[in-house]
Amino acid sequence: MIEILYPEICNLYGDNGNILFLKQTFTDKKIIYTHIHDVPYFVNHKVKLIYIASVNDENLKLVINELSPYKEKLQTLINNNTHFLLTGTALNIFAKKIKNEKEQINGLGLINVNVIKEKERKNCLYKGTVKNITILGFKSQFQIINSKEKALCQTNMGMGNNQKDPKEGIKKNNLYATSLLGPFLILNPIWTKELFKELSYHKKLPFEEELLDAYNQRLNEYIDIQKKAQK
Amino acid sequence: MQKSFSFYLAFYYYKIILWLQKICKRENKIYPTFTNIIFKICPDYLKIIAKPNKVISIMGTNGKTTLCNLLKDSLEQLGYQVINNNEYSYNTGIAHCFTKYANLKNKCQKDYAIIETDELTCQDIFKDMTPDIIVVTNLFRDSIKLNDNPSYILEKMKEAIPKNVKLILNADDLISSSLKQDNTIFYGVSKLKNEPNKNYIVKDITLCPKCQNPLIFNYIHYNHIGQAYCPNCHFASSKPKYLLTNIDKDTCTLNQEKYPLINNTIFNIYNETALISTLKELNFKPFQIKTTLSKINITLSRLTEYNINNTKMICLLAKGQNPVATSQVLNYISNEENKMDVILMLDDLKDNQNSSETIAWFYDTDFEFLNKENIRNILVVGPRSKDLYIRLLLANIPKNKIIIMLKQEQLPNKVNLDGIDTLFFLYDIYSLSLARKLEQEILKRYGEQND
Repeated sequence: MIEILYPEICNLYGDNGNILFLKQTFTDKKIIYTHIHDVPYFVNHKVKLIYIASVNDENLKLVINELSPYKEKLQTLINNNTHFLLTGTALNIFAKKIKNEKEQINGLGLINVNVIKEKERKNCLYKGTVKNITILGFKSQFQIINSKEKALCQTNMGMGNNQKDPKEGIKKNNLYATSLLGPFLILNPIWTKELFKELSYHKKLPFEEELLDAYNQRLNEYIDIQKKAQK
Repeated sequence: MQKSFSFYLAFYYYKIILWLQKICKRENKIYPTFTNIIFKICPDYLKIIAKPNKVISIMGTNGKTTLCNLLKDSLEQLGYQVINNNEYSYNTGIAHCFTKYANLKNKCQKDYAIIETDELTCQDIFKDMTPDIIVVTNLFRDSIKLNDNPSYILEKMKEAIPKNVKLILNADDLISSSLKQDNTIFYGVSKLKNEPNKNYIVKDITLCPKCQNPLIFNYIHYNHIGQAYCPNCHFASSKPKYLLTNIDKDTCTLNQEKYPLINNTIFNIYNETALISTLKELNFKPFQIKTTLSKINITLSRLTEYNINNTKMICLLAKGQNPVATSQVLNYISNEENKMDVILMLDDLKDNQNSSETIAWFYDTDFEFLNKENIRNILVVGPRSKDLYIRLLLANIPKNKIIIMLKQEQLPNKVNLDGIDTLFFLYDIYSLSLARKLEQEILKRYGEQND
């Protein structure tokens, strides 16, 4: 089963696209939606993937509180190579500390990451590499990340975890976390196909040709933008 | 003395800029390089610049431009002299507007200023001026690059809105209605007859703001707009002083009084409710309001209709990067039963100028509303059409209904009015001039054929 945690509040910035794509691929029969105040499915059942999408600062504390009783279970799942996908600001939930102007919030501390909220918003297009796959996306965030974990990908264009760190996101066993926003799975069909293979899905992706066509157009645009910037 | 000197230096500097703009016939444009200098010379310029007798500030994610236009038109119909900042909603736009209408002695002879005010930067405005009334239409998620998320914007507004101002808030929006303070009036729209129950992707508030338990909605007009309560702590939406209870073909009823209906889309019903509420708070009598409403329209740039050989072409603004506004337009289209084609030209050309564009908002937008039998073709136009094509496919719209074209110039030749009753043409706010050009080419093409 695939568990989507708290979709009613973890759904900002077009991350709904990931939920929609998981639903199209695996169908509703294989997806569990866990809502706030419910016991997560992973507590008593085996799950293949846990997905959490972007959450705002106000609800971040609520989600951390909700998951705190299950921190050890989550740690065990990470250690046992269960897949996790955290997009946008969802990685803050698993971080050690989240510091903003007013306060410092303790995250679940499941990844060796500290998040710092800054005043200035950082918008950028993003291009990075993981193995031989080019990752494309965009960022629009106030926060930077200081991470001592392995990265999800190496940055070629745009901002990595912070202005000085060219690494982007987190990879801890099979936990994948990225600050890239929006429909990450749809924007990166090659990476998504690899992820789905790890989840024992070996068929074609829904609309695979169309996804690759749009991906290649974007890739060429990003390369052009990069070339212009280098000139 | 120092303050006065710096003010008049900034004031006369900008009067000269305005005079030069007038000579160059660029009177209504704002050049931030020039306007920013005003605040460099005199940081509290907005405090000192002359203002009309009453200043009404309009804020909110969606509807503020329409409401500003409606309120301006209404007050003019009522015989008043009204100024507004023509969508330039930052402090620079407001400084431009007030300077333009102040005489050389810094006196303003106008009656009302209707000021469209940016939510994110309103601190820069309200630190120096307190409007007589602030109307807030709603708060939703908006462009990621500009607005982050609604709770972030709400906090910025809470910090900035002066405590002694009269607030007119939407009771059906649990986000913006939490701006409530001592002098607050609420307006709302009750459940309407035959209103379909639609499921929207985006609901920016689902949990009780007091105890974080799931809210129960008595009814929802769209997204999270409706009346809700918390079964756990009994928190509930505010009760409106002005409640619109019924709409017929041409009229609506607010607090038992009938008014002409300006437009029957739910977002414009809210705009009209906010308009009547504001006019009432300004002490206008129902008969004055009724007469006024019968004479005003939604601004042309937002909705244009043509008749081409018995086929209607309806051109609608669908703010790109703004999922709720676009979903509302898609909802409006989906309520039509005619045989139709739909053109989607939603790329943000401003964003596209220097980079590839963020398409995350496609996935917060209810393109599922277009999955209807009576929609023959959907023409997707612009650089991001391949991405939008995928979004439509994921909304289960059949491939054979979708036509994509990367270049906008291809559109007029692809339009086929044969066999349809209506052609909807949706365009982004930054594509307005391009949309107008394409509209004319479509008209010309069919005009030439008729000849």
